[in-house]
Amino acid sequence: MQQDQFVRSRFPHFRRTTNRGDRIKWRGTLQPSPRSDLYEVEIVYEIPCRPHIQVVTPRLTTWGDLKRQPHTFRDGSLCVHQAHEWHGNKLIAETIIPWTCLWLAFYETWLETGCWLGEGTHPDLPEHSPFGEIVGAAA
Amino acid sequence: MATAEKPIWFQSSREQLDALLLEVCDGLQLRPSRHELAVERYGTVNEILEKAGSPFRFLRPRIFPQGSMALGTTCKPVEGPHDLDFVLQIDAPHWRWHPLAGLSALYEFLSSNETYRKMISLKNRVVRLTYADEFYMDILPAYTDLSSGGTCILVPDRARVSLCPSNPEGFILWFRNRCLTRTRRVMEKAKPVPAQEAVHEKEPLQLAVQLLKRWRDLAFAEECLAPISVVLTTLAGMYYAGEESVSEAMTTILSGIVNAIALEDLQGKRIVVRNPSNLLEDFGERWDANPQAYNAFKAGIRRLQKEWTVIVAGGRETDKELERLFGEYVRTALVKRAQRLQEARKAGALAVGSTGAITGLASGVARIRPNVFHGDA
Repeated sequence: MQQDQFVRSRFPHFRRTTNRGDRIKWRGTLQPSPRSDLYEVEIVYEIPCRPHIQVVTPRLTTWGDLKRQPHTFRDGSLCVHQAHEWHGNKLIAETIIPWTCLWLAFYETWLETGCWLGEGTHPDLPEHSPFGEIVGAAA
Repeated sequence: MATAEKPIWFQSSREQLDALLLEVCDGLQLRPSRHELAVERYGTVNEILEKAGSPFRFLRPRIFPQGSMALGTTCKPVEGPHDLDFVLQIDAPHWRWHPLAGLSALYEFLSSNETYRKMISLKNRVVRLTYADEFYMDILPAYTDLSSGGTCILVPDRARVSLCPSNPEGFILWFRNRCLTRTRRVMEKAKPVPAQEAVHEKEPLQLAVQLLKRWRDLAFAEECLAPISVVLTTLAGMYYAGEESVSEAMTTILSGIVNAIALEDLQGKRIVVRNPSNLLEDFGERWDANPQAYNAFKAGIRRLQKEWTVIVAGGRETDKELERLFGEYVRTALVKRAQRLQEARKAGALAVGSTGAITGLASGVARIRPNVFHGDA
């Protein structure tokens, strides 16, 4: 499958764990910067659904009483694009995985500072500003 | 003044840590506007001391900065104004006067001035002018030490009622030479009121001293136990080995200090911190009267070394440790980096490498295409 070829050639740390015709699952590691955590990520692509992205390890954490991180679904999976930004003709290796790396980079800053700086939809949700205001943002 | 581009992606953990520390130091140092104001204030005092009516006008008075302003290691205090130090050196045979005569004369003369009367106070060795919400200007009157020669001076000490040896200009020259990394060792004369370097122009040793001072300001709640800046600066200068990286410089400096303490502990002694340009001056002498402070310093620096080893070896989690050591400037630096990342993303300048590392377009395996993070409403 073309998706699998591109994922594994561009990101050698990813391996295919399931390939069942219309459903494919990969697991691999991503590290957005040298001092970042090493994240194990699972991506499940089942035609015709959008790829499902879950961070397996380390467990994603939040601030205080917040139940979720910014830009995640209720099941804790990541939402790295709007619906119209991805379709089956686009390569996961050129879209989903790079967007996941970016999400992880902004997540790390959010975890340290309370500031989600990657923008996105629904900025009014409480997880975007755990302190109710931007903390430490430059003037 | 040229500004260096601040990196967004890094080749190594060391590079990333160094960039973060550089940004922390940028937050710590005196703002250029404050620096210019300090120079202006110092210039005004200088003029007054040279004018008619000044008891010093025939003694070839020379005012020059010492301390952090001269060394390029200014560090914003946790609270209160900056402390800026100057020496008023006069060419006069000190033996003809009482040891405290110069200090008294300076205090009385500036007290007679309408402006300074309201802001003046007398300390153990200096006359202090307090510019509210700006800085303290500490002026140390000193005689040229004719018997020691060179740039050595004699400074008053009210507690001892005597003159004590010192050599701030020699110290500045020594430190500036120690700053030069292994690749550059050039003799350079100390200049009066050096222009403030931008943080990216600073040497790793200067940055390390700023960080040590900041650590001191946060780690020691009681000022009487905190090591004084010249002790930290001298120890850093002594043990710095020319590293190009500020994080590596910190590792070497901390290791040197901790080892030196351990050696002296074996003999039941404290470390001696001599002014390298005037061995008669021991910057650590206050510890003799305050052994509790020396013990606090030993415990603190050992703890810092252990924590530093973890920070250098560790990853994201250690950013919290860095914030504990150096305060809110770490958080600000992380936010600024993420803001630059976002700007680069909007400009279409980002890619990811095969390990998922965010990088530039030239070295990535996949360009990061435009997207909008979404999620459940």
